[in-house]
Amino acid sequence: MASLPTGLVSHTRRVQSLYKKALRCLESWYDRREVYRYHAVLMRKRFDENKDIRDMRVAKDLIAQGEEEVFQKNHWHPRKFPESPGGVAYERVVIPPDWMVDHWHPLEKAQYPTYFAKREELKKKFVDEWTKKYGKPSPIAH
Amino acid sequence: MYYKFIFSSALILGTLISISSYSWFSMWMGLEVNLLSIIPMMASTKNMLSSEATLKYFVTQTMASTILLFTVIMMSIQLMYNLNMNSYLTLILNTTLFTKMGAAPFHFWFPEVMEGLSWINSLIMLTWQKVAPMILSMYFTLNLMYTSIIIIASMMISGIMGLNQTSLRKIMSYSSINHIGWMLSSILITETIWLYYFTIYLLISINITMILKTLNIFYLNQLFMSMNKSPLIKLMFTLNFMSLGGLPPFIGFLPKWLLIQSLVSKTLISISITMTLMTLMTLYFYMRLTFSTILLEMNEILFYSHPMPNNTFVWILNLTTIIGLAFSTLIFNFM
Amino acid sequence: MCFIYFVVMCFFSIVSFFMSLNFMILDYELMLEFEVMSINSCGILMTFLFDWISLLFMSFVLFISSMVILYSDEYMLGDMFLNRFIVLVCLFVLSMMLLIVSPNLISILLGWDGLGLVSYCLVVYYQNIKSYNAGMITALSNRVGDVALLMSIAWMVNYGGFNYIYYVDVSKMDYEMGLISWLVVLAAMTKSAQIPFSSWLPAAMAAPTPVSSLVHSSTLVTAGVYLLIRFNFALSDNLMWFLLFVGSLTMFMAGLGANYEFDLKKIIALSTLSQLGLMMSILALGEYKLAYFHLLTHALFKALLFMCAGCVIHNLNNCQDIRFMGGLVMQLPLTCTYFIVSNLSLCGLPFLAGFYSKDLILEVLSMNYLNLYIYLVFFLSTGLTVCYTFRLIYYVVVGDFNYLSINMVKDSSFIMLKGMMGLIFFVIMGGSMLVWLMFSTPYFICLPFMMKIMALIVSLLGGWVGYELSQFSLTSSLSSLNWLESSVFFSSMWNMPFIFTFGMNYYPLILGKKIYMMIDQGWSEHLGSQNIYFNMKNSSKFFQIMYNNNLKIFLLLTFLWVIFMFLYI
Repeated sequence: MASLPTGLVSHTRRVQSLYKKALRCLESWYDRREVYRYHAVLMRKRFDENKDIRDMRVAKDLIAQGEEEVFQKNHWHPRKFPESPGGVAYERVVIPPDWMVDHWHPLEKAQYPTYFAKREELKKKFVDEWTKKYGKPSPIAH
Repeated sequence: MYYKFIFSSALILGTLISISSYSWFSMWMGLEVNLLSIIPMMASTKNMLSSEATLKYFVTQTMASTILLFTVIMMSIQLMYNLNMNSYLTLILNTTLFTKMGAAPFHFWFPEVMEGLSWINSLIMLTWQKVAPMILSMYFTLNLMYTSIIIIASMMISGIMGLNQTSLRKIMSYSSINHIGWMLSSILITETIWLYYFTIYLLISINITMILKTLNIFYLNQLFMSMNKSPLIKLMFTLNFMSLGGLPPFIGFLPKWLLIQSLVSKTLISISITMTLMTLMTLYFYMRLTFSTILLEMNEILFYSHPMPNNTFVWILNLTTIIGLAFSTLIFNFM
Repeated sequence: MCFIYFVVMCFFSIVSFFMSLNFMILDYELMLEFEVMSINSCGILMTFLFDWISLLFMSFVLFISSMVILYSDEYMLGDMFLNRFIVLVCLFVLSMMLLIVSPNLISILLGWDGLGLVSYCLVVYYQNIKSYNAGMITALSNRVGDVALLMSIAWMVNYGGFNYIYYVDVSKMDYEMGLISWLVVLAAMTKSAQIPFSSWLPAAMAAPTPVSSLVHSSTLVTAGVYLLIRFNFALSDNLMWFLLFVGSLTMFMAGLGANYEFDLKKIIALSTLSQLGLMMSILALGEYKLAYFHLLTHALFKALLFMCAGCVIHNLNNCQDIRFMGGLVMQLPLTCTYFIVSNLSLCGLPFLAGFYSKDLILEVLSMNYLNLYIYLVFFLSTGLTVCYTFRLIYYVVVGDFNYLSINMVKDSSFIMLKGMMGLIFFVIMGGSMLVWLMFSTPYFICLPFMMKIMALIVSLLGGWVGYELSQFSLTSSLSSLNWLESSVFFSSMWNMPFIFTFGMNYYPLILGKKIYMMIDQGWSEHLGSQNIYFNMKNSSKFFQIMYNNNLKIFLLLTFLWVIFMFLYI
């Protein structure tokens, strides 16, 4: 459940994410580069106007309004890169993670002896380097 | 080992004497020859259980034979006065024969005896030992009500009791009780179907016991890993059980099909429905048996040296029982 | 592998083309019939009907699919499952062939179901969530049509045979027989994505582009139109009006929706939908030959259009959003040439393929006595077609280059270009060729001057509007943002996905869940199988007690039974 709020979000973070969302929204509406820059600057101005408000009650209202506006003016087809989440080619090609190879059956592994010998060596080397860099992992207390 | 040869010929001889005799007395004599020749074959000096089984078998069969003889004498007295065969005497006669073949309310000896036998003896017990009582019961008029009760009891007992067993020999004996029910109903109406039924049952039993004998399997938990060496044998084993249960694409379906049809045409509908329903239970424990074999595939062991049944005879038999239904209409060319 | 299939299909395409010419000249039909079995004097037959219509369509389908297979050799290059892909495409073409040649409902169902199944496999070819959803909606929408066809098969048992071709004249008049035509129209509407069922067509764009090219030009969606071309004598007047209404609405809705869409493939898909609506509605006016003519020319230029779009997408690294495109004419000159030619053919630029069919359709329509609504919708949709086409051309071909700075966009994929080159000749000349072949006597059209040039006027107007709409400068305010609600409404196909998929499913899904919980996993489980098992187990346990001391009891009981019997003698 990614939509559940799991932590406290500071006001600054809210403003920042609103700004980024607004930029993304503008990007899907205004698809010429210069037009987009122009409207982005206009939008930036609206943020800059209110940056000195110290009264949190007003600032909270303002950001709520801003979020409402971004939600209302959401594009029906937001501009997304193909491989990013929500894009057309998202998860089209799945690359299995590297540790899958560790779960092979010993008999299967035995078919590629040199590769696995080298792999074990590299794994050991990696662990060594890791411990050298970060120290021994402390045993988990239970 | 030579004595087995002699006794098995005597076994066959006894049955043949019994079924081809003209008089009650020689019928009884044939049964006795049959009994006395199987006793030494069952007894094994190496195993306590087999002598127990032998004794149980002997006592039961002897009692049945005694009553049979007694009834025959009574009947010869009575027949001087009236020729009505459909009397209570016939019921007693039938009771003795049912005891001999092991039909349901008189079946208590059957699983117990089976439990102490080797697979070859079990095969004889499952198949050949039924020939004489069944054919003899064809020679009497069967009381419809009495036989129906016996049939339904066989069906129910085999279905319900088979659910609870882990010994393969007991499971086979309960399945045999089930088939006795079917065969009794075929004796009741059409004797030709009994021949089909018995032949096919014999084939399937030979297949199953052959596989089990070669792999030395007696209990359910031995089935898990035993056939992993040869998936083909595993498949054959499974399909043979389905054939035994009477699933349509296999030949075990043929006699049941014929039998149900003739039962329905003789308006014995309720009994055929009961039989079909109760056979589902036996099918259930067959399936459970084969599921553990075919589905629960553990890691295959590479160095596992069991002899696999692998001769042409076994393959031909297996193929007959499995794909035989397609060619079954050919038998009408020879009938 | 691709090349082998290409050669085979190309060969058969040429063969069936010349066969169709021969049959057309001789006015000849060939009917092959195999009887599978006969039940209650109702024969189940496998029938093949070869006449010039089916042979010509077969040759077009085979030609386009051969080009598409050649094309996908490079488009799908490096894909792990290319073999599966090619085999699926071939199965697809095979089921289409079966559908084309059969005048028998049962043998049609073979091809029809084959199309549904294989299209599902092709849509879910890329195994991500989007494809799964798209595949499911495609398969289930088409399933409605399958059910309609099955029901009409069941109904045809009444008439002792499934060769509908003998019954088409009867079913126009007869009420009971007319039900078959209604069901067939329902089936055709699902396959051709007419209005209640349109939402699967843009969703099916999740398939790889060569498949879209094949599906949307000549095979899947035209199956419905083709079925109705075969059935057109069977449609009663009411049914015709219904079909006209649905078809024209679909045409208008899709044309409008394409103007609001930003996904390159979806724009072309909506344009296909619009053209399908055109075919359906001209069919509903009784001009089945014109519908067939437009079906063929549309197949040509739409296949090429999709192939060009695929080329663009391939070069832009899977990017389908037209906001990332622009100025591609500098990088992909040949592809863009093909793209513009096929687009203009779609608009009906004179003497390209689309012109002959579209102009003829519009003029025949103007000759008819029809109401203002139909006239307006037809001409508005024609204008909208040009409008979205020019918008598309503006976004993709000319304008600023909007893609990433690091790119590799160039016309280097020669096999794809070869595949497209095979089609471009037919896109240019196919229309005139077909109009000379199919219409041995020209249509007689007599119209007032204004009505005659109305098509030209709306096209020019549409082109201008499309160009104006897509071009905006720094100071102009964005009209789609100002009219946000209506834009969202039009862009989401008039809320059709929500109404006809979620809306239809809402209560049945809840009910299904309830039934599953209460009955399948509730009472029926508790009282049914579990209960049986419980009782069996318990009785088995109970009987087991009797076996503990068995032999003694058994012998005693047998003995008692025998004595009991003797007492009664």
